[in-house]
Amino acid sequence: MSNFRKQFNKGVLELGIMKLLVEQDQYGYSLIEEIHSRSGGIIELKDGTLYPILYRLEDQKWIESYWETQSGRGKPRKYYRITESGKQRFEDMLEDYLDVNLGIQKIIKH
Amino acid sequence: MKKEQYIKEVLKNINTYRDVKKRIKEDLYSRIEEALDRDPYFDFVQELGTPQELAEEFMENLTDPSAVKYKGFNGMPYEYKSTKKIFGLPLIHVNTGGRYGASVAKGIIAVGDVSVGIISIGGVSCGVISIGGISLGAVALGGVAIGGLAFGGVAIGIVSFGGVAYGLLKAIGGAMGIL
Repeated sequence: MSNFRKQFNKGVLELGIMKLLVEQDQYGYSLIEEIHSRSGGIIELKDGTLYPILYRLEDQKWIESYWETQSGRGKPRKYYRITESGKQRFEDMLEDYLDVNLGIQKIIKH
Repeated sequence: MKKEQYIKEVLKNINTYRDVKKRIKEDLYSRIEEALDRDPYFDFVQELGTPQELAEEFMENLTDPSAVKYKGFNGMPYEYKSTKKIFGLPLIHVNTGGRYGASVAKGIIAVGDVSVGIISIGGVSCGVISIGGISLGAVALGGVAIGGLAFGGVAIGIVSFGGVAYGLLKAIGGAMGIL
């Protein structure tokens, strides 16, 4: 993966993950799968990338984790959910992203 | 490889605080359990990479300085060699294998796991002025120092100073003797 893509991914993946968590609580594997399928296979999120992002978001109190054992499944899963401040953060990030994206598109298409 | 062994190997190669490692351990367990539930033949190495690869990816992404134990040096190999040379030797050579093994530094000023130079600093060090765990030099300072002028826990030299000191001409220390 190019260095540009790595750097670019860092910010936008955070946004993508938060969007999924706004919709519903997720566990690590489900986030990897959702990102892959909803990006049409363009974005492949690796474990070593996903979890450090989740830790950063959790440290900022924008998300929180909890363990849950679902009926019919003996082993507990670690879920992540978005907090109220996280929802606000997501709205701000989305606005920033759309602004910058629009600006960059204008530059490229000029 | 069993999942416990795989996770242990990953964690061994991640240089961060215990609480961060605990989070990684929890998440990897949960992640692998999930994958094994879906496919009992889930191949960790094929899907997640070798433990070293996964650990490197974690290290690359644990950018928060509080999460990475050593800022600037994460137990990874490091080498610096100055372009300026004297008598064919680099003026400064710093070489460490980090946690992956010992590397040799050779230069006028040499710093490394094993170092050889005029001024030499290393785990095992050899030089005119030599400082190291085990140190050999004209002037040697170290845990074990052997040299013309030797200072160390155990010092052996022409003139030596140390906890245990042996000197050809002079020995000063807790226990001392003239060879």
